[in-house]
Amino acid sequence: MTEARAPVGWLEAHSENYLDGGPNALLLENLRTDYPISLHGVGLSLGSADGIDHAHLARIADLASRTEPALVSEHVAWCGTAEAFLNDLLPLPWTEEALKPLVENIDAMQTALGRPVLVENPSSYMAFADSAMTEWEFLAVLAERAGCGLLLDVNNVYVSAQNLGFDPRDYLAAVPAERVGEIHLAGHHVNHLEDGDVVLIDDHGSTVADPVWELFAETAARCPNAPVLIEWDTRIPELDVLVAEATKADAVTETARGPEARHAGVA
Amino acid sequence: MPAWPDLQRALGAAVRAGPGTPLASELASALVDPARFEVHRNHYVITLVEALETTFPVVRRVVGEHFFRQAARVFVRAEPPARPCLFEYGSGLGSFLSTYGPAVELVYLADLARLEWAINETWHATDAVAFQLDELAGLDAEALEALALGLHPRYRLVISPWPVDQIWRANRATDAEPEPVALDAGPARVLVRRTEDEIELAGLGEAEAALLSALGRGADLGEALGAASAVQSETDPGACFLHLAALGAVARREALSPLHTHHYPSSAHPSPDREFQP
Repeated sequence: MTEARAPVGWLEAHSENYLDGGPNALLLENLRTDYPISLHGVGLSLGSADGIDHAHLARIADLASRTEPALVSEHVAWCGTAEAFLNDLLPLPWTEEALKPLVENIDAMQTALGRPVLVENPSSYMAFADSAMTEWEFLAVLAERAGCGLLLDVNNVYVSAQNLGFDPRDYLAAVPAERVGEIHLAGHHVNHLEDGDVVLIDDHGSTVADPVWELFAETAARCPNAPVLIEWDTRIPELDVLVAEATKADAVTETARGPEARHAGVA
Repeated sequence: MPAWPDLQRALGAAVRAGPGTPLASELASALVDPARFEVHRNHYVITLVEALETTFPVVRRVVGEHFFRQAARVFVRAEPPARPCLFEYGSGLGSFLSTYGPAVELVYLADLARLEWAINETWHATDAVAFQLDELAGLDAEALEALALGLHPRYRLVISPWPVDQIWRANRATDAEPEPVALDAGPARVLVRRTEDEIELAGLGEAEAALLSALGRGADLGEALGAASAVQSETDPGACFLHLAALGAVARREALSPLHTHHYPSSAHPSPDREFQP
């Protein structure tokens, strides 16, 4: 990208990869001169009931002040406990008890950054027995209470729907469209387990699957102004393959929005 | 179901316990399909082992993929990451390998891992202004001895009884069979340096290494010069210092500011003026 300056609308970077002072940080400095940047965190653990790591939050805020990103986002998930960082986006029970610390942590993040953030719906492999509401009900209440936006990952909705057994169209129809500030698309892996169980893994390592494109077309019609991103961060392909996916997403958005469509980004 | 904070802590411990370990009944009953919890246990181990493979590529090449992954899994279990940046994970791998039974015959392996950790640290370090030789002009002996200098953040010093720098160079290339390295080639005093976007290793003399170690420990220049004389009385410690400064390895301590860390108070109630606006 530093040489090709491919014709994509914007770029998204995992915040945690740019918190150092080495060549990576300079790369982001270089790219931000030509592209709007979105900072997408994967380590703040907003779902932690014991609160978040304020030293880490301070580093994220420092990166944001240097990068001046167009968007800042994180996840509706937890990533570890006081004992250890688990390098994962673990699921929450959809309960009032889990909602409260999540709202507090998002508030701490928005306060530190001095701006509203987007939080992304998870890709889930397991559900909690005592969830008192659906995921989409939980997200709607969350956005309202925390005063934040939603990053709607359509692939995650599809993956979770397949893994947990709900209709992705019920979910997408219920998400408050006015809160959606960004859309993610990505590939997933179909994992056949020894016991015959089939689990879809959100691995960002391939092209977007056909059923996800179909769901995206419907989502774009509901949220025509949300910027769209192709996430591809494992088994990274040649740049033109990635750009072709972004171009394909642009075509869908243009159909939904009309001729003045903005261009999709890549990460 | 247990209270959410307790359940979360217990689930975290169960992830770290590793794939295949039995799930306590109160955790299993909290999940609709407890077998799926294995997805998270596997993800934890696999991705952290991958992170260590990225940070320690030469150790991995020397011992091979299978051996490295076995050792890394034991290390992950013993020393999970404390913080979210994986480029900061693995500082303890060298010490771990020094007592890891299957590696006991590879006497140099722990120090090779320490060298790769030093390389990792310099790679990610935030730059600072190096001490310039012309700053010495006009300083009298007293001011010179009191200079508060330290190791420049893009530099690290690694000292080992084994020629870990030669082992590193021999195993760095992925496309060629490594040249043999004689283990009795003598000790290594390696200065690791990151230039703009490359890692360079340079050998230091014994007195230079002692001087730089002393500065790294917080000694003022006078003490550090004394440390250099103490290990090699026939060497001119002043010349050692000039060489280190000319290499760019030294910075004024006041230039070594840690990352800006501000404390942001958290408030439990979102303020109404920060409503999200698409």
